[in-house]
Amino acid sequence: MQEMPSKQELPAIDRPTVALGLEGSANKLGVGIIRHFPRRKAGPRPPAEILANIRHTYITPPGEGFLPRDTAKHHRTFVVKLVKDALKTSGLTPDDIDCVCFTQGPGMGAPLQSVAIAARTISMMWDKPLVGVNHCVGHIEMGREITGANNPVVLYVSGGNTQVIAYSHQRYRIFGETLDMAVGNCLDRFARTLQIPNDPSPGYNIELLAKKGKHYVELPYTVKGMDVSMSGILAYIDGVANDIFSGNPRYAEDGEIITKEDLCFSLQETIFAMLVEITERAMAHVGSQQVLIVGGVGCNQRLQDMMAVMARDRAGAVYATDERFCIDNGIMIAHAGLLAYETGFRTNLEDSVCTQRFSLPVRHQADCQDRTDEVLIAWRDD
Amino acid sequence: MTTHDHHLTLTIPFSTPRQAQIAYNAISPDPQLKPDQFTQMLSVSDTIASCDEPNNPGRILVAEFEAESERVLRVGVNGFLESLGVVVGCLKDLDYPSS
Repeated sequence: MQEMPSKQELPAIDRPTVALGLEGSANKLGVGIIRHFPRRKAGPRPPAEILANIRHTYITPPGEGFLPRDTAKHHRTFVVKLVKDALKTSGLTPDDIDCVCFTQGPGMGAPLQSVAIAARTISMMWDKPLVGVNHCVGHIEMGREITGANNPVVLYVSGGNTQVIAYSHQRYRIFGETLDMAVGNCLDRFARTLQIPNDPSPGYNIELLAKKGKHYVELPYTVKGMDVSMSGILAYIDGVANDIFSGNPRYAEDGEIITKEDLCFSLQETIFAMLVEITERAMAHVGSQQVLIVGGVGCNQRLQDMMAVMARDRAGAVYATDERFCIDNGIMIAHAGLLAYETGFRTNLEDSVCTQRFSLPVRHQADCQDRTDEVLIAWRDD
Repeated sequence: MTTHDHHLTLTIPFSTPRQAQIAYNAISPDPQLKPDQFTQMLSVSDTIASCDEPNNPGRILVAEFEAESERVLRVGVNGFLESLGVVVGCLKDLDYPSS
């Protein structure tokens, strides 16, 4: 285990630093370049400069999800072009870059590995240190950087992850999480049931349909303490949708037929209400007034609005970012990686194997970084 | 290492010893998913048989594969070639000369 540096031991950074970040844990391939400026004396760090933030998404036909093999192929096809484009956008050369950061997990194995191979190669070619980044920590740090929320309760909601997180003593502690599938996965899979397009993203298309929904269909409400469960909700609403499609219409109280718009609306209202509930409970426990929403589902306007109503009642505020930073991207990996790099963190080639799951690998148990709360947040001293 | 019936050896020439070593280092860390059915042995060779430029050694990546069936061999070798493709793509387009 890395020693926890005390406040005094945090190394002073006396020059700007630049990182290249590569993200490919799911169907988004992202490459970003970020610059950090030295911390002023006793002051906060100046805002980071985003020099490039390029993303290419693997989009599948309606009704189909993205499979690891095809997604990995997509990333292999585009990774070189994206790095080239990012360098061009930034106007930098490899000489200007301090470290090469990549998503080491959690995520889908084959896509992660494809991008890791590119990161290793680039790191050796340019003779720059490699920094493996935990995907979840990337989201959190980018959200904090962009919004300026200094110590928020974090709701991390995406296609692969659903966690309520609060910072304490150099760890992002998980207060609650999903017991089965991620919120975004539930939305994506319902989009497949409805056969609606995955372009630009299934969640966005559900959000658009939900705006036209008028009738609320009651769904299971499955908050379990600080955790949530999604699978029962999905099974139930899939059943209703299949009924409707097979000529067995359902009727609302006013006698109107339930539409797919109504179902999208009901699904969003139910799931988001559950998320607001567990987030509010975490805020009460921690005594925090701030909520930061990160992850792909975080750019859903309805979720942000519902969270804002709750936060207002608690005299607090919601912090969220737009799709450039909410949806998986390379810049968040560059940012979180550079924060770690500045504390002296490096990833050796032999330790650069990607991990899919939140499990404890036997090999690197000592410095395991798979779960959000296993990462030592050495760059925070509050 | 288990000995299997199905073998394949690939030799991949690189223009410099450094590039061959980078390819070796980039691909080596990842473990095989089914080591009991498929093994992959990489090495950087400095002897080149029947090559046009025998004065420039150490530029061949040698990949030796052993598998329990032809199907496993094909899948495993394909995986290696896919990884190699990423490395070669990076070396080709991103290996800027250091100033």
